[in-house]
Amino acid sequence: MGNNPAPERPILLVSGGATTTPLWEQLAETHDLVFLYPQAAQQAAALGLPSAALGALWDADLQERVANIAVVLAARVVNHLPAVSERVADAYAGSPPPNLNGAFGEWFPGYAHSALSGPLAILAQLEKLASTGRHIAGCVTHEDVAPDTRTLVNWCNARGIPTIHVPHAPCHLLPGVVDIHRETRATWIAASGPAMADFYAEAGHDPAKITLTGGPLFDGLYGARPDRAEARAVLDRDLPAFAGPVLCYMTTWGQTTSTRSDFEREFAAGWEATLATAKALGAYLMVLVHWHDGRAGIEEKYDAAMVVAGVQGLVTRNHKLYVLAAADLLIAQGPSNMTIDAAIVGVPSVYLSTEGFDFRTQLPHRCQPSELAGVVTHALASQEDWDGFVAEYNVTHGARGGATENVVAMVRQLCQ
Amino acid sequence: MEGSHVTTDVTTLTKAAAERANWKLAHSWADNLSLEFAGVDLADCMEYNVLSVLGGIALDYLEKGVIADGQQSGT
Repeated sequence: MGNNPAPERPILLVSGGATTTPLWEQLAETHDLVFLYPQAAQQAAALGLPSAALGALWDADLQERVANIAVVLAARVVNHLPAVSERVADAYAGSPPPNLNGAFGEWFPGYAHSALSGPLAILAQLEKLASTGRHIAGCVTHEDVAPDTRTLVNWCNARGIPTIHVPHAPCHLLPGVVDIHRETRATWIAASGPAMADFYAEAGHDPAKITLTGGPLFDGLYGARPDRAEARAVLDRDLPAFAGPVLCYMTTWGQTTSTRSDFEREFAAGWEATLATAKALGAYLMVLVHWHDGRAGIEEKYDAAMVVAGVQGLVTRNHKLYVLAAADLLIAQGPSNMTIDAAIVGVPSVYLSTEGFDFRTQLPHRCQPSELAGVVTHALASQEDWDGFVAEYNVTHGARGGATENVVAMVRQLCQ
Repeated sequence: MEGSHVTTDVTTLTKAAAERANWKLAHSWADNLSLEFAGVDLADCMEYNVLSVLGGIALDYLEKGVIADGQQSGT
């Protein structure tokens, strides 16, 4: 015994977000958590976990310093414009679009100044945290392509601090397609399943630094959940007596890092096909609006379209577990990871194909809008190995969960 | 800026070619430019931003017909 204070616990930097949330409670047993996302810090504090927001280190001195550095770096961009100009011409083989052809210098330095400020602020806060002398044992992030998380990971990598990427979802990019999602920076990857491990290995990540852990977000789907009868009764008191099939349509959202076009037309065609299929099959249709689907008034539009078409159903942005449990089949707009969630709870799925992305497995079913009714009819009647499909994307499927413990063990081993 | 006042026949530019060009540009625009702070290359941290804005410009021209949509993009 003695009066020595307890040794300081190591700090673990955590991005935040739903993917890391299942890990917090166990990680907080051994580490003090410092969150990149302030919302995550608030949530962790509400749970009584030893944690803080990185942003709490922000003050007037840091603000002034970051503003000055951003100006200096933006000035370097201005001075570098002739070289950038040459690269624009080179990249576009001499035929860039007008705003990249001669007008680039009018807007790019200002844009660069703006884009530099966010990462600089994070770096300044990280430097201030490091200056306290506390031991920063590691970093856990759900992605490392967005500016804030990439900055966090790059800073840790530069200091030899272990970085662990727990991807927020399997990515279904087709082989050979270039996309920022292959550009992971973290040293270690906790892969949900073989398909995810293959994806990152093919992208050039060292296979020895990819560990199969299962997906922590999937764990919750194996716990207590409503059965089909209960889910239907809760969602709509008339639904238990509904005689036809019950379909769920999952919407999606458009990404902005590529030249994907015509999202609106693609979404409209998928929705029209889904509505027509529901009507033709006499189905009850539940529209589950994607949480990133920011289209204004979209819930009302779906609801009004169902009324006009005479299709019974509901529209929600929430209650995912209940909606999935109530469904006979999921129709996803694009190769959605919701099809994995659905298969875990025993619901088969069909997705509407899009460009550049596809599951690498035979399941789920996939089709063009014009083929949807036939494929849905087939999928409702067929018996496939959906467990085998899930196992490709969640290696802990056979054990019905346990990915959280696997990732926590990985973090504790690497981040001491 | 200058330096790239080439005669432009943008209608021959396809969506896929524009996307490849954006990708190349996002990875090369800051070559030989020091944007380092605290040991971190800020240009790498900005990759998502640069790809997004270049993609947005190309998409705008695609929808206006300046860039031809004659080829499936990969991303």
